Amino acid sequence: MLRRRRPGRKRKTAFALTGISAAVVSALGFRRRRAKTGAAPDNKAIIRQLFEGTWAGDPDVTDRYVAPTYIGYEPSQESPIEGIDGFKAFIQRFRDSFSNTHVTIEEQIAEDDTVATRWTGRGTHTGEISGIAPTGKDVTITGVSISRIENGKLVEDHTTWDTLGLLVQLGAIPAIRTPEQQQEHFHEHEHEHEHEHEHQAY
Amino acid sequence: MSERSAEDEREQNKEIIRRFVEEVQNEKSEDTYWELNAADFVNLSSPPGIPADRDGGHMYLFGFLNAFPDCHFTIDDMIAEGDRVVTKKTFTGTHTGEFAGIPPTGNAITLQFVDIMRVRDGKIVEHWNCIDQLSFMQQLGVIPAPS
Repeated sequence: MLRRRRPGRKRKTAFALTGISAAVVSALGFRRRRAKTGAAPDNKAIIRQLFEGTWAGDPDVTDRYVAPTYIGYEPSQESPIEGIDGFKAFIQRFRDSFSNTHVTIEEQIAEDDTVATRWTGRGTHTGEISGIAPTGKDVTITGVSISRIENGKLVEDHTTWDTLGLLVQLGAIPAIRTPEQQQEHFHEHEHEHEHEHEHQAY
Repeated sequence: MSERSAEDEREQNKEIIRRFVEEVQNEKSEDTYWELNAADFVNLSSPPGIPADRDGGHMYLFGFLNAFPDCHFTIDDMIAEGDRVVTKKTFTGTHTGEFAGIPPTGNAITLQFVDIMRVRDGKIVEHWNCIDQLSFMQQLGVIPAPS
């Protein structure tokens, strides 16, 4: 907050006031800078440590960085993930199906209390998932999480990741086609779709 | 860079992306597409068979918009830092035109996804997105939804 120098003051007083003003401005400015720019790098580090730690199997990092009020939205889960236990259970379900899991943080963008993290997850398919028996395949998936941090703990996040890509890598779904291939595929299977609709009508 | 100029950069870049969503994606303005995307624009998430440059981006985006002519994009959340803007969006639309080789299904689609754009001198130079493609394909009926 700038305090304007009042015109017509005696030079000595004006100088003193200006000196005080400058100190006040400087102090306020310094506090503002620390609150904003100090928070963003810490939040990035929190999310990095949380993601890298949980996927590497660190048992303590979730308690350290996830709030009891945590809620998470994730495409493979029908309902939100809730609380520290919910977060741990979610990670464990995937680690039960994939061994050697680890996540690489590709980039992070942070503003105020929110961090967006683009990541790559890797693992080997050694346990059943979504009815798919273990294939032994190494998988790589990409995704992005938008995380909100309060008082050094994760309180909410929204994650999007390439679920289709995972199923393709596990062989459950054919590879993504170009538009021409897709059109060809659709016409080849057109009659199958027609019969499906007939059965459903009954 | 001072805090004030960092904040200005963030806000200016966010405004570019807001204009992209409103004018290009919602109002379907091709003029604004060419205006806001740099000549050396790269689409890091270009689908198979589509060139990753500005021309390919135009072809893909407007093909998409024409396949869902009543579509609307809503910005749910947006953050920015430096030259990058992250936008979480919700897309709704009805599949009434051919898209990616898929004949129109008439299905109503709702999709949430995230874009990351890099902006330079008021123009978009890079785009990456993450879409729940499985949900998209299931809603289009290309892949069966779980029973």
